[in-house]
Amino acid sequence: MSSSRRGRSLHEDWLAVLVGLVLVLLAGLGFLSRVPWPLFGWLG
Amino acid sequence: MNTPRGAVRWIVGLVLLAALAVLVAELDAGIAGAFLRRGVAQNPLEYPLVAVLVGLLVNALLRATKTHEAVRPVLRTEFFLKVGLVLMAAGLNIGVIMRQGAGGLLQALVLVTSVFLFTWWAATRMKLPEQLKAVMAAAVSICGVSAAIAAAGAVLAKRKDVTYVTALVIVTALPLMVLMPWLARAMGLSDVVAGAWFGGNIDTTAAVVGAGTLHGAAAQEVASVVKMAQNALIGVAAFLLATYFVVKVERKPSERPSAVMIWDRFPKFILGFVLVSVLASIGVLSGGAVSVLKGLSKWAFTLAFLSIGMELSLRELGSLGWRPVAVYLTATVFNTVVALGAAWVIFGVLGM
Repeated sequence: MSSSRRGRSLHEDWLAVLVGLVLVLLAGLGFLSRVPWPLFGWLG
Repeated sequence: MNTPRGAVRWIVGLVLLAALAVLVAELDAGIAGAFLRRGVAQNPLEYPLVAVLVGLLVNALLRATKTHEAVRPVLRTEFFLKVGLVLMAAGLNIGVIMRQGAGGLLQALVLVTSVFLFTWWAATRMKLPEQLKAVMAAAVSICGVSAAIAAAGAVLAKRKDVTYVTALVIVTALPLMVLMPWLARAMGLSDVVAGAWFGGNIDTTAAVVGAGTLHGAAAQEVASVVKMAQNALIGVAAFLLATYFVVKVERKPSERPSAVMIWDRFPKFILGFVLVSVLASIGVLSGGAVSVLKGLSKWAFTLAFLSIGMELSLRELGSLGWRPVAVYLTATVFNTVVALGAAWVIFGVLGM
């Protein structure tokens, strides 16, 4: 596979980790549960 | 997105994707309601399949109106998949697995190893491409869609490989969900052995829950723990696959594999997956937080599978042919038989 695809994959990997951990932090601190989500049975 | 026009396209694309995700959520709830009225606790058709189908429909509409290129920039399938996997780890509590006994972990190790190697062998005999082999073997041996996604990230598989395998996972899980409880009763299996069999064989969580519901609460509890034990091996599988592809598949003749190369190749999002599962296991995350994160994981996967559908070419999917189906079905039969044997020995004879 191309090095450009591998390079983009690496950036995406770290960005996914960052986004995931930020959401975990927000959820852990209880902020997200206060948001009035349209539940659809998927959240809360 | 370097121009105002590019920025507008991004915004329009994101709004469209978000609206479609809400549509998928509504459809999923509706389908789940229909199954619930028939006594099945969870939607066995699984929202990834619904998302791909909606994506395919929108794909056709966009191509017919020649507006497809406008939304392509936001279709970040791999990114959405990786975020979804990191968040999904919040539902993985290693402590629960250990407390429920070593039986689930032992069965997971036996099953995952044997079924993975069998599937790999069968796929090699049928001359499937290396990346598709990896995705398929992970999916059938570990836990279906999630394992397919993790493996695809480790080996940089094509999106059509993930889509093809996802469809096979969901389609084969449906008849198993109905057939296995019936067989378990016919064979007179205890609740514990039956639940261990369901969890070790059926590849989608919803179908595991459905089979357990049809058979009984005790079976469902065991099935869920066994399934969780298998899910815990996703990170291990991703690491081993990345290592294999560096050392064997992608290695140039003059190149010598090194730890740096393996680290370079290792899918970094698995680190996030492991970290979040550790946080969940040591009790840092409350039940409410875990519930929210599992829901957000579903949204991320929905965006991913919508993107897959919106980018997919059915002709490209059809080009994979019948051989992957043959391999998958053969591997599923093997998995069913070996899982029964493992469950009977570990949970029945040894009483673990």
